[in-house]
Amino acid sequence: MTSRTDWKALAEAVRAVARPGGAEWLDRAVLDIVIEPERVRTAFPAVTREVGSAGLGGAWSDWTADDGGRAMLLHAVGDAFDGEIGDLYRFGDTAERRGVLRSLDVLGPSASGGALVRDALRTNDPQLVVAALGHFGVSCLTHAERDHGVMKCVFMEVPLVLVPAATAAPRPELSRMLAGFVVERVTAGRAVHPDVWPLIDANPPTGELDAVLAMTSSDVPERAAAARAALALRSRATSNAGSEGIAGRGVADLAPDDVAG
Amino acid sequence: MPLFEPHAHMSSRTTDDYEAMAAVGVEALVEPAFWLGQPRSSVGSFVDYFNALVGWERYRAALFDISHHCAIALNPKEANDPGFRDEVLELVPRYLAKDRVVAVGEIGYDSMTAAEDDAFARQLAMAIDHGLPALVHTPHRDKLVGTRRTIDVVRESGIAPEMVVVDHNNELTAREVLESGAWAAFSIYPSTKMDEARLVRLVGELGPERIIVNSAVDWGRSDPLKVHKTAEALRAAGFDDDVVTQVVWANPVAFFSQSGRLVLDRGAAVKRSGEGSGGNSIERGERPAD
Repeated sequence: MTSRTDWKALAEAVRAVARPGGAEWLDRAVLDIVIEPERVRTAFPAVTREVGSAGLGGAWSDWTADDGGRAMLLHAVGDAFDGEIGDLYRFGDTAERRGVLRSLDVLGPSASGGALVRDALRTNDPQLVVAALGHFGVSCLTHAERDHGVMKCVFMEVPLVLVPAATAAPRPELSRMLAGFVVERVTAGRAVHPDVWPLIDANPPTGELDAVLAMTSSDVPERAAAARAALALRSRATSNAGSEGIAGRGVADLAPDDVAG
Repeated sequence: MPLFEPHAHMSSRTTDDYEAMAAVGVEALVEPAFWLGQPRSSVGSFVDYFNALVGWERYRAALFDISHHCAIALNPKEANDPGFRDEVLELVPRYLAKDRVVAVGEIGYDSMTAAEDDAFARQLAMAIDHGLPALVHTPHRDKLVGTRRTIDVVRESGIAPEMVVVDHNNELTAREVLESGAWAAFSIYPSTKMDEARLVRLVGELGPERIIVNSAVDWGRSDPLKVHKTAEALRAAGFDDDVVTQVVWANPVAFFSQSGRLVLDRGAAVKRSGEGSGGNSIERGERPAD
């Protein structure tokens, strides 16, 4: 598989899905920035409009064309990129901020990137939280911060397949928090997404799991039903970890259509 | 009939206003950058405001199927503050490069000072650089003189007159603005500036070409349904649907389309992106129970 830092392959992947004229615009912008790095400040916001936001293939299948284009612009800035990303993020809209966070995974070492990752994890924006939990982001975080990032994804119903760096080798503390979340949801008679089970069962916390089991015979009908449904999903998810129902969903499926009113 | 609200400071309004506007047919709007009703104290206040105009308000509008756009500028009143004016003018081009920023504005005059002259001229030059239209505020005090000076500055800047809308006109200023080649906008307020009946009479006298109507709603007494009420008043006065549609939809669409960044999709792209408003959503960290 192509390395994500293969810049030539990234440029080809972006070119393959760019809007008409987008590839030429990007070539020109890269040249302009090589000559005058400050020009990244007005080129960076224009990338989505010029290049589009179709999904990329290859090693960047979780990226969109504008993410790739923005990474190319920052690469063109050269060693000075670390001095630019703070303001690009601060003055950026969602797509620009996501572009900065994605780029951190493929650019060189960054002293300023960690603060941006933490800022993104304070938002409630699924796109930013997912982008912040890439390999670079996770490498900046403490274990506790990483676990809270995963919990945030669960609360926002972000499919955990989108944040593999954050869910690799789950600690017992994460399993316990997720199991506590299941107890809380089942007590409220609410459904639990099956994504949580492989992470819980990596270090099964007996107290919380016993509590869920006990609720299957609860006097409160919706609580009993929720407990049974959760445990049914547990056996299916654990025998079938990371597959159907989870894979194939993207952040774009999380459109907040249902939040008005 | 679809309505276009070309001047509304929605960040001062509630979601109920978005809902009410959508209910009478508003499908798209432009929110120009202005002052907050009280003076800002630093450039950081502009950063947060501009971020809200390209993020949060776009998201709020999309919840009601309204396509949100904005204009970005250092406003005339605060162009007089030496504490941050240069910093804000350095910031503006970053935002002019963004999607759905369809004009430079509001620029122009408040008290007609030298500092306002300088900010006005520099921001007209930015409009030329970015290929964007300009939305020009005219002063409340000494309006006729201020409007004439506005027309002169626009002419000297070299911007094409059809790329300029001069706002807050009245019976005394509109004809000269139209003769300069610019578009003439009218803010329809509950009591001051201009009302529906006067606007109806003006359309009769001037015709509908390059005439734009807005509510200019902000934090003061103002009515977010004024574009709708003006359309009703024009229809009641006997203007046919083509003329009414031209004034409340086709004219502002034609003007802001010159930016190349107008997106008349009733917020569909914003909703499809799953964008949570550039950093937040009204979901408060958890999606609502099914």
